[in-house]
Amino acid sequence: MLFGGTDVGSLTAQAVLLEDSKIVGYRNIRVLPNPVESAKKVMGELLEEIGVNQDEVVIFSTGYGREKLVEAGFAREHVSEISCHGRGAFWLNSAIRTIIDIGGQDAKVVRIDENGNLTNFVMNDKCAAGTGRFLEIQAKALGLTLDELGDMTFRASNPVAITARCSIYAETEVLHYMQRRFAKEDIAAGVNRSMAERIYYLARRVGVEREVTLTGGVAKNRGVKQELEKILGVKFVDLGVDPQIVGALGAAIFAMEKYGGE
Amino acid sequence: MFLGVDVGMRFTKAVLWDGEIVSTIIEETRGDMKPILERIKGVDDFKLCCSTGSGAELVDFAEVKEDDVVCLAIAARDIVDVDFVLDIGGQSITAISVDKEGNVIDFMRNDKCASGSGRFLEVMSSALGIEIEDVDTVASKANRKLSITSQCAVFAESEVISYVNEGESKENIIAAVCDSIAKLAVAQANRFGMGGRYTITGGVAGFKSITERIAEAVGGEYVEFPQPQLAAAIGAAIVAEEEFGDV
Repeated sequence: MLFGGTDVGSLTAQAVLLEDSKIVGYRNIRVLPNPVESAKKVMGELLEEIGVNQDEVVIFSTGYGREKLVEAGFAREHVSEISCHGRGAFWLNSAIRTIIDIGGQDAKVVRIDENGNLTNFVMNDKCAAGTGRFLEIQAKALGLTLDELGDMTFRASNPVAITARCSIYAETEVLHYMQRRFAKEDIAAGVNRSMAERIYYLARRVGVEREVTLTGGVAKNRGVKQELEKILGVKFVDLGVDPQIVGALGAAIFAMEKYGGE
Repeated sequence: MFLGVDVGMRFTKAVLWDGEIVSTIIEETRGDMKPILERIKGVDDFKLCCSTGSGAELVDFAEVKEDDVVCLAIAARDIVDVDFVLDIGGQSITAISVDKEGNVIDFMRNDKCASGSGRFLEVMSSALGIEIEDVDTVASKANRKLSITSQCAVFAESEVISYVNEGESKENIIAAVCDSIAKLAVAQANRFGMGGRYTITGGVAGFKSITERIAEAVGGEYVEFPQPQLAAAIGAAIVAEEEFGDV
């Protein structure tokens, strides 16, 4: 028996397959306009790659449209993203107590205890500050890709201060710095730092206990990661998998735990 | 004659005042304000100039500087005689309670977030390809009610784009944007306890599709402020006039 999890975000969707408590495959794609279609596509591609039929797999869904995937008969059950991130991270490394997950349009900090049970969480999906969208907007203003933006932190000599919290007002600040011919590296490093500050303020609300891991698409931004480690005074633990699949993995683990005895 | 200059986050407004508006200048606020300020300074003879707004200190020829909340209260006293002013500017929403003498009793401002501000409207109209001056005309042709649920300008823009992708008309979408700005302004007004006689000032107050929706939702009597974008500049000019009289 195989167990699968799907996680649909605002920009990307992931699928993970488990067999005998091992990850046998995963996939990460750009989303389609409809979350149900996104989940079906990413899981469909993964099943084809592994060479198994969908009826051999118990699938749990998380992320956008997770209930609809159950209604559509595609997923057996659905689980919240918060629970899935906690479960997925703990399964990979049982020393994890805090998961900071930064997605395209939301940011969450999940706290778990020594048994992997959820103890607290905080989430921002109301304001673009501190989410991937903030970085996208500033990268576009700077004429950089997201990867380039992340690396600028290591090439900057004197990062600028971005004082606005609002993504739109921060974009104005970035444009003003560019007009005044500040080095792109310094502006970009300022953006990464300001992003890390936003996440720090969110994380502070539930407290950060070691070990800590960073997941979601923004975990791939090296500049933000380093700045956040600096502010929090911790070194993030690398879970050894693509940091974007932790939610989907958690869903697959829930499926395995519930239906593994069948 | 007296000159009032309001250097706002998005627009710079100047009013030449002689008991009434003699002439006005409205220009976008830029990084280099020198040419605009030179033009304003050369407008005509004036006895005294008062500057206000977030860039008040840039007006080096102004003898007097005054806070924009104070200027709005004074303009409200002389022009509309109200108990409350709701100012919706380029990057802020401010609710002010005033007394009959034009003193500020209390005020509450949001300038941390683009939600419901002029910038919010600019972002949405630009996403829709609607010129800002056409917003009212386009919104008046709406025939179906839509709703924008996000308060965040970034997320609201995504909602706007989703509607466009679903084939929804620009008319209906921009009307929903106006509704959403009005709702945010009303929420702030209600938190502040606004009622009684009130007026709406600032650039956004120039859009009837927004002010009418606010007036429907806020209790009390809405008094229209003529040329609402100039309110703080008018107040500044009156401050200059009073200052001159005191000398």
